[in-house]
Amino acid sequence: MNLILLQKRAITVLLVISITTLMYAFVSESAQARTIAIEVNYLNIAELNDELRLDAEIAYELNSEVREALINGIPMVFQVEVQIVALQKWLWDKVIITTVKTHLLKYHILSKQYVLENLETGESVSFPDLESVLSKQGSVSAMYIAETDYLKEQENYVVQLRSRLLSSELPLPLRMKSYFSPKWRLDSGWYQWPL
Amino acid sequence: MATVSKKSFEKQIIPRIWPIILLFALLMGSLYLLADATRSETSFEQLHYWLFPFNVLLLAIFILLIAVNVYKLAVQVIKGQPGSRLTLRLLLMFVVLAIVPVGIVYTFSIWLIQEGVDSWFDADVEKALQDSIDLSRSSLDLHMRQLRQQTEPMIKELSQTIPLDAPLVINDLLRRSGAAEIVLFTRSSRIIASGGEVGAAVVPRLPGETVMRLVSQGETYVGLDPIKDSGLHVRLVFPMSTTGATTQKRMVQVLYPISDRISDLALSVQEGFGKYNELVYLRTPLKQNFALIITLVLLLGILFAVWAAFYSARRLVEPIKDLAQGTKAVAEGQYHKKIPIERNDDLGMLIASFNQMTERLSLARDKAKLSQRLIDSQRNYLQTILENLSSGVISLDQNLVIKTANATASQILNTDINEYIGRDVAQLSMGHENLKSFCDQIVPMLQGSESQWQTEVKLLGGSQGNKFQSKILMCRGVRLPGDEEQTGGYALVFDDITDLISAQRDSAWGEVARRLAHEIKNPLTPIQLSAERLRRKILPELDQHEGSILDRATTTIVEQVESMKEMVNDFADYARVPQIEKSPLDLNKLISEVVELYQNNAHNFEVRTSFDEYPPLILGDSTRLRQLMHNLIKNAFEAMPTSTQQEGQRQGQVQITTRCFEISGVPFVSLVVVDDGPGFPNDLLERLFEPYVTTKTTGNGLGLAIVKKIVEEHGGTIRAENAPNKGARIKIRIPLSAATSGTINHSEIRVRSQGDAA
Repeated sequence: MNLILLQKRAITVLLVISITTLMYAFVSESAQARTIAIEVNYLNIAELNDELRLDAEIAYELNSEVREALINGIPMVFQVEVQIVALQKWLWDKVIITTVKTHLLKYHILSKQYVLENLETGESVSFPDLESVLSKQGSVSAMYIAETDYLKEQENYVVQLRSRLLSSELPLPLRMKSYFSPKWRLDSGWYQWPL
Repeated sequence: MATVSKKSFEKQIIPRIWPIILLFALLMGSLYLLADATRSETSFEQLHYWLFPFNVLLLAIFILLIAVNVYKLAVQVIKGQPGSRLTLRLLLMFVVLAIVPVGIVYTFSIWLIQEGVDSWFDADVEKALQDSIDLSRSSLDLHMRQLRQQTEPMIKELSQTIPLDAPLVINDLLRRSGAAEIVLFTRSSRIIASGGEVGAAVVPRLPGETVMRLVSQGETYVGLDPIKDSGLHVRLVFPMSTTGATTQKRMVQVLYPISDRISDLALSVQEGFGKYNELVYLRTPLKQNFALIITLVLLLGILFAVWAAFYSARRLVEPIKDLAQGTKAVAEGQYHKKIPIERNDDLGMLIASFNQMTERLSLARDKAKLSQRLIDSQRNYLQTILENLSSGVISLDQNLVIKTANATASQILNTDINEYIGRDVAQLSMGHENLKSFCDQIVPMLQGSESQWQTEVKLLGGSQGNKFQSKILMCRGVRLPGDEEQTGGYALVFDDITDLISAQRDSAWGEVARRLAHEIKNPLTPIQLSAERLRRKILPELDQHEGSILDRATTTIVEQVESMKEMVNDFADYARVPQIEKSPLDLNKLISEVVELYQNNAHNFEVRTSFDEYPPLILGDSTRLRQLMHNLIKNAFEAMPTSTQQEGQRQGQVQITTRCFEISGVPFVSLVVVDDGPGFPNDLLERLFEPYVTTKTTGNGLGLAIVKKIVEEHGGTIRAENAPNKGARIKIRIPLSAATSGTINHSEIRVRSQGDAA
């Protein structure tokens, strides 16, 4: 009787420990990756002609593995996501508006140029070096968010921004790798700013 | 029965099967997602992030389950529980069966991926592609140099114009040079003037910070610029010498389109090389991915197989274990054990047969028990009959070896026959002299061919001091029916007919006595009267001499007749049909009264008494019993030797004892009279109680015969024997009256009966 009870307890404890360890390892790894790869240095939201416009400066720092992939002609899609969230006292916060800006970054091997293409407008610019293209990619200026009268005055709003590499747009083998390797999880996480 | 077992079957199986189904579904789901993740178009994008940890969790669950099962099995094997070894063997078999093919598939798959993927790539192709791109570059480089040389004079021209005129000059230059776009701008990216248009851009695209820095240092930047939808362009950025007022450095960017043909070719080269390059780069992660997926899938598969092996081994062994336990129980004699039937297959059939078998065994055992009990009761019944039979019964086998004997046989033969069971009947005579005649007479009869015979055997009494009396036995022998192989044994039945013969003798004597009394007594009185009359009439007429003769003769006749009368009276007493009047009386009291009469006699003769403390109340005729006591005491007295000092004086003592006891539930009083005389002669012992059997010179020998008669009138028995040391002993047993027996403490009697019964 006691033996069986002990066995069951041991099994439960083992299960809990293993799951916790697993989760912890996973979360901590992704957190580590987040702090290094993409950082939001500056964020400002301003009202201009009854429109909310966003200025931001995002620093991208690509690790050697990602750089190598880029040099070898792998196109990468980065996405900047801006949300306006209505803070609620008792319930979950409510996302009111989501605006997305997507860039395709690729290396043009013949001209040795880094090409940055705005996937919404189709505009593209090319730069002979990576720093220039990343700085261009990281500077967000006067990004349209919403009409001001869209927001009700009595509520508390927060604007939040994140930028990340869309692993789903990577070619298949790298996509798989991105699931398992923190080096391929480039994500700034949400940066919040009071509105 | 069938429905019940089915229900229990469902109850037992379903909860066990659920976790398996669940785990299997999870496994399949995870594998499907893995497979989905390898496709370029996926439907479960969001789930893929969790795929790896989820699979690791599954792995952990399986490993845990297997560890628990291994531990359980190890404990079972160490404890030596039934079925555990078979489970282990089955498990090992399953695991080996699962692991070997999976291992082969795994090794082969990994090898195929490593070698196969690599074989698609060719070093020569790679070289050729690299060369082609180099060729394209050098060709374009040449073109760019030409364009630079061509543009430099134009830049000088532009630098000499004032900013207001710049747009005009630019338009002029555009027209002359064939450039697609010319932009004049400052270091801070402020456009002063521009002309021409490339692509979809509304605002001219200025070079990046690095190029600006380079140009601001006085260098000229020449590079290719792939512009979407417009093909390749050559970008030239020149520094401009400052003139006059503006301190800000100015720069000019000129974009030349490359001819469509060259542009297409270059882009085609770029595209081909780019794709190939991408493939080469992706080769390693691709292989890693496939290896990882295959490893994960096969690991999960193997773990599931091992766990399933545990499960199925246990499922398979379960009924065998039950059977083993059931068989063990049957071996230990527990036939009631039933094993629940949980399956419909061969094992289920086996279990059903087992249950049937135990049921049959149980029935057979019950039957055997019943018949055994029947036989036992029959035997007990026969045994009881045999034990309570007044005849002695001895059974012998065909070799005349004693098989059984009842208690009466031992009693009649005065030997414990049970000691001789399993021995030859002839051995009875050894150590028992008096049985010699018995054996000598019986054995030849048994060996004879007669199947049934009857004979009378006389057992000789023991020597002086031996309690054993001579007996006359009626023996009958019967040959028992045998089977085909052997002839049957014998049954020997014998009765002690001593008492019967003695009774016959007594009744003969009674008849004689009655005749004597009747025939002789009648003429005696006339004889006596005649003699007396003869004497009275004739004596006075005779002279003295004759008279004295007559007187003597008639006196003799009268005396003899008187004596004969007395004798005839005695006979009459003996022969008389008893007219006794029975009433309850205390035997102890009666004996005391009789003994009192003998206390102060002239002789040196003493009568001692020892009475039972319980008054032996019997139903008897006090007159007859007094006579009995008188006769016994007188008999003892007459046996006493005469004193040497005084003539005619007898000396000695008589001991009279009464004891109450019980035989077969009937209470008796035992009266024992012992003297210290010479005892009875051995040859007379048997016929001591017959009339005219006496050792004495006086008396008519009817004393003890009358004693026996009185005893028998009271329903008792009498026995005479010689005391071990000296003297004669007469034992009388008379049943106690029912009223008395009720007052006696039976347990007391019983306790004493063990010692005194003999």
